[in-house]
Amino acid sequence: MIDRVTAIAVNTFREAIRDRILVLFMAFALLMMASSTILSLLTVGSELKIVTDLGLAALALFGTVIAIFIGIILVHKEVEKRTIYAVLAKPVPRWQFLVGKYFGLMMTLAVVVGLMALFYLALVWWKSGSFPSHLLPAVMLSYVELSIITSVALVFSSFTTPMLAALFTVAVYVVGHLSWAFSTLLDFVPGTVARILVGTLYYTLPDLETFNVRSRVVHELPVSGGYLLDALGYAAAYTIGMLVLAALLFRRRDLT
Amino acid sequence: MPILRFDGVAKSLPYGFWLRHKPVLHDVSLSVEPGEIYGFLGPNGAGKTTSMKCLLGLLTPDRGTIEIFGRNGSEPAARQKLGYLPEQPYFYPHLTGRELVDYFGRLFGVPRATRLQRTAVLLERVGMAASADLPIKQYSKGMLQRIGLAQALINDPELVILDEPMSGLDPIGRREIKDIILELKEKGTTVFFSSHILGDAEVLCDRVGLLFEGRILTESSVQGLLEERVQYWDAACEGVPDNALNGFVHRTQQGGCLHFRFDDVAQLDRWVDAVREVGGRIVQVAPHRVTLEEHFRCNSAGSAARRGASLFVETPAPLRANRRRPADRSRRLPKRHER
Amino acid sequence: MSRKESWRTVGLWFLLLVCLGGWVMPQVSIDYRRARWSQPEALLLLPTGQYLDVASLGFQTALADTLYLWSIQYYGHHRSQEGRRHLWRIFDVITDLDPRYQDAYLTGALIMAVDMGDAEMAIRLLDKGAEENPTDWIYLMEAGHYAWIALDDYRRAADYFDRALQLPGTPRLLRRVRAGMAELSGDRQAALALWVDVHGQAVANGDEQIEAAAWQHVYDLKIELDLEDLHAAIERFRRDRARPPRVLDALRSQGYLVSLPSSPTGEPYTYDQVTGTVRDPREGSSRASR
Repeated sequence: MIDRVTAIAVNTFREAIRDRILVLFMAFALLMMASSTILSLLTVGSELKIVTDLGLAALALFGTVIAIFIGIILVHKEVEKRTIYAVLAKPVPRWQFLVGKYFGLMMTLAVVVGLMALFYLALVWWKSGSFPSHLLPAVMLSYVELSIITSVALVFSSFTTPMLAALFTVAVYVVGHLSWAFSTLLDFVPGTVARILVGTLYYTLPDLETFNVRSRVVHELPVSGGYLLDALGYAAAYTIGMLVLAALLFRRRDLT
Repeated sequence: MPILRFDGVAKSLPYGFWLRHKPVLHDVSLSVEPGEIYGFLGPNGAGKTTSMKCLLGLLTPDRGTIEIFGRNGSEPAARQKLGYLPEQPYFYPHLTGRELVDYFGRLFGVPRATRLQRTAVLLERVGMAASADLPIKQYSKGMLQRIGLAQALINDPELVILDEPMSGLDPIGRREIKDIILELKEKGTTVFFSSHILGDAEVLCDRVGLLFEGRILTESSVQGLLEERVQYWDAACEGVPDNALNGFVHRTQQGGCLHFRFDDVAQLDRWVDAVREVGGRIVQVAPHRVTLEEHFRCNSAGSAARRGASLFVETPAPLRANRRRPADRSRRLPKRHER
Repeated sequence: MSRKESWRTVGLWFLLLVCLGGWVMPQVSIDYRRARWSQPEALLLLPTGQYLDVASLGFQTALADTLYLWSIQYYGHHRSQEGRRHLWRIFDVITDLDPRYQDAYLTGALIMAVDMGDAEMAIRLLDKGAEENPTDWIYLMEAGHYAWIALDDYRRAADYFDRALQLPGTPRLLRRVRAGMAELSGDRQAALALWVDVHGQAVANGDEQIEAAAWQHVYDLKIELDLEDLHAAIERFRRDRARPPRVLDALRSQGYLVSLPSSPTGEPYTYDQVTGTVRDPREGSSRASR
């Protein structure tokens, strides 16, 4: 079982990493980071802040775009191009295919985000003169956030068309970042039914703001270890949950 | 015990904007015995690929059961000794052929050493050794088919499922695939392949099943069919003096070459003797066999036969399926396994 | 579906539930931790409106909406001094992003004046609104309102109301408010003129209730002013002649008044030459006794 999942993961990774489109996305991200140094010439004083802010933003933004893109396109391509037929005609249970695919995607994202992060940290290091270790939690949590987004993308692509899947995933991404609205709504809405509804949404949709500590770290405010642990635990449970859901949706699906 | 058995399999698939379900397979029952080459024949749109998808667990049948090696086909483990070549295979474009075959070997849990050795042998066997390390996106259609065949055999399967293995190939390619199929049979492997071309089946199959509009029309042995079914003989000779063969009606003359057509073997025998006598040289003697199609047309009576005759005339599938036929039941000919 | 398959499905759903529990627990913990991060830190990081204007890539109004929604939730909960420090900035940014965002100005001013007790800040925000929306009277009226209610600065309020009244579409009420403001600020002459104006309009519009109320104001003010004038003239007369005039008309003929006023209904004021006091002709003896 482990061997099959690993094989699928490695294969997904290979397939993704050799795709030129990924290089293109990364080039854009690096360009955005690099251009922040040029942009910082326009300001007075807060040069370093602009480089730090824009770089983290580029990291998160392009990470998300790439995650949604490969999470949906790579899975869909398997069905569209019928490569999945050959895979599932082997003694491979469908859930193993999904899990393998997921880990392959996460491997790809690890490389992509890793490269972007290296470039980013080097840039800030060069600008500030000291290693920006305070930024590491933000970079790490960005990647953890991507693990959730990818799992959500996998759920959607396990039962719908890539266009809709992308749309739904983007919607979840946006709503996931507006989770504070749900929690405040929870205090205001009248009626038990409405409260249960809002509460359900609040606790079932991913709270992606958890992984956004950007505005803290750029001002060198601490992010406690306990918080990081909670965030990791949250992401792990959420991801596994989404994989289970994807498996449930995918197991009986007719691959026409 | 059959190695593969379909029993009353029915399947509807959604189509159109509203995803209404349209029956594709009505009632498919067939059985494949170990060691035989089974031709799964039918026109485009008859449900061959759908049947194969059901067999591979890609689709879940609405009704009926499929057994592979005596196990339920929906269990992944049932596919351990099964090789599958998809129709018009398309594989991960950024992998090399070798990586692909190796990857599929891993999915079967073939140990590394065996895998490496078998991959090399298979790539050699399908004639892909030279281009094994090129990315698949550079492969031609024929190369894809070959690499597809190599991956289907990586687990040393006892049952090989080939979906339209010969479509889109040039004559040489078809020849090679046929050779490989026959070779598999020699090794005792069971081959189940689909085709819409009858000629393939005639040459290869031990038995065939004819699928039409989601139903098995007939299941029979090819060997029995082939024997007495030579319709006529085409023969040609050269180097015979003029008027030497006046007793025979020759059809055409090309240069010094005379072409004849004979309806029975006795006549042919006499002609051969005559040519020899006058010192001529026989250039060609070719039996013209009735194709499965013609056979089917001749042997079946009634409306079902006529329906069957139009079997291989390409008609858009949905059009045909939407038509209601009162005489539906009469088309169901007795099936072999219904004992 | 076979029995085994069904059990597997049940198992998977159960696993999903376990995962749900697995992520809700840390979320509760995270919520707790984040609540203690306190929002003002986040507010501290709110960029300036001009920056956001550019950064929002054309979605300024949507961004303004989002910030607005967030801020009213926030100030629904936090009435600390910490929050107060950022109050101006938040609404400044929102209205920078969307300078025509009426609700943001009004609600912002309300939070500033009522919840945080800083009417000056509220007026400052409304000033900005008036500046950005020079044809809209609501900001001036609201600013006048806060100057009146919260600051008791009637002159300032009157000033705002005057400016508002010059704009089209002001509600009729505003004229009355303005007149009241004049009265409160002690500018009774102006108040009288304003009430006469209100009265005239009420007559023209046939609004009897307002007409009656305005008339009451006009009546009281006119009499109050007239009596003051008359008493002042009488006092001057008394200083010169050591006695009050015998008849009121003497004030005019001796040059102490340009003309002799009469009550709003046109009746002459009654004069008591012994005490030297003037009275409203309609009034009973009670008022004369003062």
